[in-house]
Amino acid sequence: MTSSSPLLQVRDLEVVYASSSGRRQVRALAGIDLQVQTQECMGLVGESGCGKSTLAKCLLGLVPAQQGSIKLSLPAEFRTRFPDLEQLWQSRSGSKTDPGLELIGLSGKAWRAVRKAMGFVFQDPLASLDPRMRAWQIVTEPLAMHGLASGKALRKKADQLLDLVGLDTQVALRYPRQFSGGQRQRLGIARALALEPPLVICDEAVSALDVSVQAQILTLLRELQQSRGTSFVFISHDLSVVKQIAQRTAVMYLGRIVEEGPSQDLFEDPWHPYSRALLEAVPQPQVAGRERQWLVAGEAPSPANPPSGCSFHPRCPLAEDQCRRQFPPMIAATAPSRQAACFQLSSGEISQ
Amino acid sequence: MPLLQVRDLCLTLPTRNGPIAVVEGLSFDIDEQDSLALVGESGCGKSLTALAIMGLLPPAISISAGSIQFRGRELVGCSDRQWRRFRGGAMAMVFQEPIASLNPVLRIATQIEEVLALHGDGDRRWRKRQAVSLLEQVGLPDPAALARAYPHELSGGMCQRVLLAMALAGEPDLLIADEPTTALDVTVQAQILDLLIEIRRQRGLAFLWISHDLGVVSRLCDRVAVMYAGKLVEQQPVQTLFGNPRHPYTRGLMAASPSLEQQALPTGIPGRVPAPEDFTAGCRFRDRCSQAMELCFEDPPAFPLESEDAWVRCFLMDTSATSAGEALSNGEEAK
Ligand SMILES: Nc1ncnc2c1ncn2[C@@H]1O[C@H](COP(=O)(O)OP(=O)(O)O)[C@@H](O)[C@H]1O
Ligand SMILES: Nc1ncnc2c1ncn2[C@@H]1O[C@H](COP(=O)(O)OP(=O)(O)O)[C@@H](O)[C@H]1O
Ligand SMILES: [Mg+2]
Ligand SMILES: [Mg+2]
Repeated sequence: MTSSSPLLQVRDLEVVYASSSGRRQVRALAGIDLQVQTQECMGLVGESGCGKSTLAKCLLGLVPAQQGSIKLSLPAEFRTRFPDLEQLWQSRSGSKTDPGLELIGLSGKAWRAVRKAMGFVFQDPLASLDPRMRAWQIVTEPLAMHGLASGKALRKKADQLLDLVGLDTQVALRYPRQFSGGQRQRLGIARALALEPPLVICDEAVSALDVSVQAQILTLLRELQQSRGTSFVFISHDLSVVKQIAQRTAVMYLGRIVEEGPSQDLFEDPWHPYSRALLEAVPQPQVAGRERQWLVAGEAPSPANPPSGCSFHPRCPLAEDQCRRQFPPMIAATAPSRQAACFQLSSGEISQ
Repeated sequence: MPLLQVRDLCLTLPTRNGPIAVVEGLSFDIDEQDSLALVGESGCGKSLTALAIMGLLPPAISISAGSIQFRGRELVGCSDRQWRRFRGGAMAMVFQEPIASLNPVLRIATQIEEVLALHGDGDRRWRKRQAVSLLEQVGLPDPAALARAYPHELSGGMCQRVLLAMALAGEPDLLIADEPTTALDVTVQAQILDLLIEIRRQRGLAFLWISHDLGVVSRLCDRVAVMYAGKLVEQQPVQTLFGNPRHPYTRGLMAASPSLEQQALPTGIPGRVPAPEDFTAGCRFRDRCSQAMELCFEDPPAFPLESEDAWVRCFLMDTSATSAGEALSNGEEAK
């Protein structure tokens, strides 16, 4: 599995929004590099405004990229189930040495074909479900939309999907408002899984739920990952959740990934001062002698007006002249494969 | 005399099928400078409890029984005017949605000055200065400029600090907080928790802190009360509760809580909190409890635990009962 190309390969991705007044530009993503392997859950953390949702939407073709590349390497078993996707694949995908379908620049029609391969679950379960549709219609919407099933077969599929996410098939005729928050989130997940996509993107999908339900949904995602080989991009502001569900984690700051690595290593021994600050901020019992030396003051600056050099320097206890002038390069290590963008890493100020 | 004493509090909602109790038989004390956390899943009645103490219950819900005493003074039955004298004064509250809690068309300073005026403190010039000073005390940068800003110009974290400044304006002895940091980034949350710890140290404030985040609770509070379906099921000092949770519901909550310390995925609690119209007699957790037994159809009394003022309402704690079989012997082992 490791030798094959990653399911998702993002290179130098840039997204610029025009501000509401149109006068200023907001560089929400300032060059993102990211890989997601088959059957891997990639966690994405960072303060609000750092561009997590923008990245999710860009991966789904819902916001246009200014620059960069998103390559999707779909397993043949999946492609061949959808004639339009297979056709797109044959006409557009790369060579033997560099396979994968470039998503940047695809037409709207092509994106619709590609989106079959990407399920998504957003934060607000009620807002993302049509209040006039019944539960069975909601979860089978992608199947109906792509004309993949109808009539009895569709109802049968609905029961399977409800069952998959742990909902009683008795609820098939209910409307969204008749469900609890956790149940609605399950409906959203069932819908995201309807086409059995190889990749599911979750943007704060469990954040609004009670821990009792959150834990059930995390368990469900883990089961899907193991039984179907599904890959996930899992966005959450809750670091503990990400540590437990994601095999790898990327830490974002102001439109960039500043650190990335196996969750185990990154959470136990974060390299980047910002990762350390995030981890130290996780509330824990006050223990005398537990020094908190990395905690940051203030809030993240706006991407409309980013600081010079390393965008973290105004809040960084290690910032030096160089950090104010230049953006630090990624310092990478192998075994375990991890990387962080900080001058202090190369200068030995932070141990690797 | 405790600062706040709640006894057998019952909150009722009228329905077509007669009144139903959404909160029932709630009793707890908060001493001066004490801090009590109220935890439990959503829908357990935590917010209503806080609102009842503040005299801010929604119109549909009323106090049908029990007593709420602040420094020995009975609040139940008070007129709204009398209650207002406590509210924003000796008792103050901050809410989860900081931006929604501020008036969008008034400058920050005006809103703080209004609270000060309500308590009849000082003249206008003093109030103006005091407003800026309060903003400074809650750690806001450039307080003079901020005082002239409108709420929409502020981030969520800044709004929460402003609300804290407003709560502190009346020099309260008790601060009631309903999930005040839930909507904030973890970095900003850490700053606000530090600020609260510092303010509490300086002013000797007491807290009633509502949160679903056990990490926050462990950082901030001395004691924890666990609420399930309108009733308290367990109360313990924070260390002993985390070290040795006794009620199966408390254990369930802890096993479900994600934590940086843990390697494995958290485990959920099957089922969900019943709606108030489905409340029954006996232990309300029994349908979700893996250790439920015949006895659980009766109301469990509060079994005292080792620490002072610590107890749990669960028959597994009943060492005198002999007929309960296997589940009971598990309970005895735990003890
Ligand atoms: N549609 C939009 N128009 C203009 N700016 C936007 C838009 N969506 C997001 N932004 C800005 O882009 C930045 C990144 O936002 P977002 O991706 O939502 O971050 P996150 O999900 O990490 O909180 C923020 O500064 C936000 O204000
Ligand atoms: N204004 C209201 N009218 C009717 N029922 C209400 C009202 N507010 C809350 N409830 C009900 O009371 C119960 C407890 O609510 P709440 O105190 O908000 O719970 P928590 O804060 O623990 O999540 C819930 O079942 C809720 O549906
Ligand atoms: Mg977002
Ligand atoms: Mg509440």
